[in-house]
Amino acid sequence: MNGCWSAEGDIMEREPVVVLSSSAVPETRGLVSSHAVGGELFKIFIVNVALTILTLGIYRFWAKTRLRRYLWGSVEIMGDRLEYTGTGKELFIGFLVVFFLILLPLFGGIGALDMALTGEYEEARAVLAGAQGLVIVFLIGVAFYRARRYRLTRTHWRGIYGAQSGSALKYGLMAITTYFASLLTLGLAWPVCSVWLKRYEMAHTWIGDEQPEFTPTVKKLYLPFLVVWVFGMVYAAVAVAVFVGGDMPTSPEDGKKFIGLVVIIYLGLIPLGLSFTWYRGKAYSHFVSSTRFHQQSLSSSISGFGYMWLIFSNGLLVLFTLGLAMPWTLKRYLNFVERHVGLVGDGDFSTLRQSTQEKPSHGEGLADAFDVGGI
Amino acid sequence: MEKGWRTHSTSVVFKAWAGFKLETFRAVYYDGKTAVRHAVSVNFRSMALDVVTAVNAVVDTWQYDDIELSDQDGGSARVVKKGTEARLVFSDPQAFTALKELAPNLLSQKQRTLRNMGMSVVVTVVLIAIVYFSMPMFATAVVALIPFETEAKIGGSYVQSVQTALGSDEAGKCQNAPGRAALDEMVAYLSAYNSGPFPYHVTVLDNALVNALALPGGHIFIFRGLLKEAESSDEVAGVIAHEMSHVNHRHGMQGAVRNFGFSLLGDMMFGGNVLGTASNVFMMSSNSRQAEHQADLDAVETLNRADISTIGMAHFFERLKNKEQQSSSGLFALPTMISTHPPSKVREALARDVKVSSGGWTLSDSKWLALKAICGE
Repeated sequence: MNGCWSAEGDIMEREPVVVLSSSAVPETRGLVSSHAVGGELFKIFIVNVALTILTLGIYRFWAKTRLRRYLWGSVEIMGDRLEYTGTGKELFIGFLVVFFLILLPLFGGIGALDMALTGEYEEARAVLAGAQGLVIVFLIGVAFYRARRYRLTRTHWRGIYGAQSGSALKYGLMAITTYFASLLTLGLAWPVCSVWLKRYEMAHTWIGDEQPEFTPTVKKLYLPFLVVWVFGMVYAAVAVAVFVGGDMPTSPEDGKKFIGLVVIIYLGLIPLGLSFTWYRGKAYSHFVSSTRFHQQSLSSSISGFGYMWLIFSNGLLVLFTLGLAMPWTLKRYLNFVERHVGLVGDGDFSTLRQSTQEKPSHGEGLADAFDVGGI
Repeated sequence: MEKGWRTHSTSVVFKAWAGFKLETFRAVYYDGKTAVRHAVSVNFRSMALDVVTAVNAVVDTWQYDDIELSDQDGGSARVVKKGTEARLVFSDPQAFTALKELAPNLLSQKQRTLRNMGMSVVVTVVLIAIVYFSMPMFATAVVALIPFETEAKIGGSYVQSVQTALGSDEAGKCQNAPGRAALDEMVAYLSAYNSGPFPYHVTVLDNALVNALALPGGHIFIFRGLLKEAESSDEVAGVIAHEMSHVNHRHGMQGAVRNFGFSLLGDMMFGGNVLGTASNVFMMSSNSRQAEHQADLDAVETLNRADISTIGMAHFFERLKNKEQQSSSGLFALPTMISTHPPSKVREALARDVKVSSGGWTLSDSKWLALKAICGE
């Protein structure tokens, strides 16, 4: 071995020693180790950006694939790297299918209908605009679910791939439902909704021929959520008071005061966003530690503040480098997961068998259109 | 070999002979059926490679044609047996180099990136060509499906906003009776030589710009500035005939559908980035130049049929050309490629080159003066 991949080498030397520990207290070990190299990521990123611009955006399917291949390959789980097997061609075909079979007829039709209604049926146009909004919320849900399926089936570990059963259309309808439930309860239903959606995702998730157990409790999420919610309500009340209740300024001095208030309200969005990110960190941690797979549990030491700082500092990095630090933020994210996600158990997955689920032949067209799902 | 584990002795009996052994490398093997890592030796033979376990059993044989790259980051190379989930990971770079010699379909990551670059450039060019050439046809087809009444209604719904945005709110402005009568006479005369699906409503806008525009469904607006600039009624007749052609051919509707399509495609296909927008502007303007050219041709034809001299129109374009030359010395001259109208030089030549008709019909001098004064002085 020439040491390029030392973990691999070490374990090879040990193979095939499998010692099943029979001690009562299961061991906690790191689940993930990240081998991403900032310079390599940056090279890939720069080439991707240049080619995407050169091809007016068409290269983005291959760019995404290149980046994912590197990122997946830099993640080591129990001594073996992940492998991304998707291709740019599959993403491009997914895009063409969605574009010509769904988006063009759908939004072309809505546009034409809107044009035909112009002038005489303004109420009908308003209904149409509302319906279009609903369709978009629905499609975003569908897009997310389909993209998740594509990625799971393109993720291999020790030759075993993931999968996702269930129905993207059903998930889309669920997404609309949660949207309305959150709206009607001024956001209070959000934790219940997110658990409902997450449960559906996890109940249809496969790694090889096994499924994870996922047992989150909504109760655990509500205390942190209420903190954010009360903050949000106070913020909304102040904003409404200033913009709606307050008198329009008449004198220049009033005007200065008014502008000052408006600036304060906009600046208030920052702590509000941060507090929501803090909650998301809490929820993330809870979801991770509520997951079991192959008789072993995940553990999490993610804290709300730790997650908040990660997201906030990553945002600042991207902002102040005009996006150039993007590869570095990915590396930081992987390192964060490496530090905070553990496995409680013996780490032996050798009885896991290959998946019998179908793989979709192309993917992520909708997710591309609505820009869902990050990298 | 998809039949699972074999002992060395059976494989000797059943396995096709893979040729002479060339080299041996250590690797990690995953069989694609279980999540078990196998430390193996891989024998590169002259016709295929054998995967051999510690107890010297050949567990898999891969034909070189079937071997493809999965990833090559982080120092080791992972290769796939095509059509299976089986994997071999070589951490020795020499193993990859040796395998590359033998496996014709095994690309390096660099080669793959280059191939993808080439492919995406070709795809981009093809997509742009398809969009560029099919969109006008598509727009024409869509507009053909729109009933004339609907188009008239849609155009009609914009009349008020054009008046407010470009003209004046004042009621009756640019509508004085003698001017109106002169304009009506000219429009009625031109209409008689122009057959289209829509009746024409020509209005003068209180605006100093030298311009004219047509809405879908027959509403034509002449700007006050154009009347002021025009030196004869023939020039105005040429402009009106030009706008009538736009109305007849439903250019406005086609343009709206086309631009909607272009911007939708531009946003979706090219991800809405800056260069995508630039290509959109190019496509939109180049298509509208075609429409303008057709309107010019039609205008000349109409004038000929109506026995109106085309010299006026030629003069008009000549003066436009001179203005263009003056402005093109400036910093912000638009290259014709992204201008929406054909170059005036071309347009002037067009109006001149046709056989110059004697000019049998023209607006009387008094009516022409009345028309020029339609907005009052």
